[in-house]
Amino acid sequence: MSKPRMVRRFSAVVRVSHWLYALSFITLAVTGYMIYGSALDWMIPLFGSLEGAMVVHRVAAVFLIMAVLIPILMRPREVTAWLGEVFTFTEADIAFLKTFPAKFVGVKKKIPPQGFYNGGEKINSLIQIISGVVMITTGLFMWLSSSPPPIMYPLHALFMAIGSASAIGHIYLALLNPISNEAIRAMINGDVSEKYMQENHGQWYQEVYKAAPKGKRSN
Amino acid sequence: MTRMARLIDITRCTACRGCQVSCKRWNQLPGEIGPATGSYQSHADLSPGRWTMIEFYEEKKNTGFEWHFRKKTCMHCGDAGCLKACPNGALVREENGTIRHIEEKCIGCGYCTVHCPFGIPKIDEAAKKMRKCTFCYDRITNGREPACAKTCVPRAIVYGTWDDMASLADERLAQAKKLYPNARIYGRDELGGLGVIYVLPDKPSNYGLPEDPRLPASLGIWKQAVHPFGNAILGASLAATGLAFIISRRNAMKLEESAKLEEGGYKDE
Repeated sequence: MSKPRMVRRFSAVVRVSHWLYALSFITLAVTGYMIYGSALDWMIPLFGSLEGAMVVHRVAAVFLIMAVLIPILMRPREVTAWLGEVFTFTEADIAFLKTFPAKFVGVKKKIPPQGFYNGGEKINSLIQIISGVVMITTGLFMWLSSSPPPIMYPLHALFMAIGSASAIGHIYLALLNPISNEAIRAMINGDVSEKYMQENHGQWYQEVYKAAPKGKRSN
Repeated sequence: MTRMARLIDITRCTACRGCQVSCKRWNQLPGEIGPATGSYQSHADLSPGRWTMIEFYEEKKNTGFEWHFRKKTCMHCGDAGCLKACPNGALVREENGTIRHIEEKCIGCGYCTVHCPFGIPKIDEAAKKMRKCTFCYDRITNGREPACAKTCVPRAIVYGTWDDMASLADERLAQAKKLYPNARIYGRDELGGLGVIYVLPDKPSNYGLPEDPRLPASLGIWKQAVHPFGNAILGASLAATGLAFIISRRNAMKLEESAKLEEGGYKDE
């Protein structure tokens, strides 16, 4: 079998920002949970003390904000394309969501042709965008204001839970789910195979090849 | 044990600051020298090492200059904002009404300082611990009155059961009305009944007290809604992905097996 042809999906800037965001997100979630609940209190010694964990929390917050700003400043077109896709929900997305439960437990089903992002990715993106904006805003208030409005605290906690719950699903689908984990290649090397593109993002495939149709591979 | 309380009768208080000194002495809090405040008030505010003080409020009226002062201390509220705000369970209500601070659990996050309507809790930034009036918990659980009540010369601070203090407030109010027609009781109905019942000569705002202290609605949201909801969806998300992982592995293994069988079975068969 010849080498599969690869299609570029994410630029290096976006990939680096994604992983910077991911690492800061996990650090923030772990250190933040130490104030929120007690299930992770056994990890406190890793940070010296709870105050140490709170310092790490703030440092990680700076990195997370950087991970948001870098792609906005350096790849604005890629970001606006993403936002544009995410905020337009089509029938194909709903059709995708119907097949999602099977995909979630690893049963391969034919997926209705999807755009650059499928319905599930769009929902995850939406949750991350909304919770990210709320977390950064409320967090900055709590950090920098001498008397933050009291509503900031429950909001910060609420969107921590929503954002983290969605992130857990995102991590599972990318790393552990046998069907979809091919997609992680796009976030590491930046490209996906043409076959994967055709099977999972039919509309995107059409858009890319409409102008200059390539010889179709039969598999 | 029944709920205990202090009656603080401002109509009798002479602002001698004896309570301020005896509080420091019993609780072994070091003296703190601060800048002059421009009035008779000793310090600008309570601090991690100053759990009670007399605050002075000056007012210029048509009839002349008027002076208001009040002993400021933790009220040990019936509906305590600090306790509701504490994310780590470092504040508890004891049966005798004390809002007690559990030092080991306190992380000095300062949420209580934001949510106290009276500005009482203070954070010791070096120790990363909150500090406030303990209601002399060590004394009152051993049958003694709080240090401030013990030392009060004009009997402006009286300690007893909450019910006794609530009715004593009525007696004191009747006496005070002769001198202060605007006198009133503060703390009996506010926030589920405060652990400090004041007899004030005039309206609460003259004494740096909110006329109608209320806890922000967001406080209830945090403990009663956000916290359980957050833990529920985090748990559900972990459980769902964990389960899905196991099922998807099984499905993948089945597929592998049937593919091998199609190819002609396993080699060692």
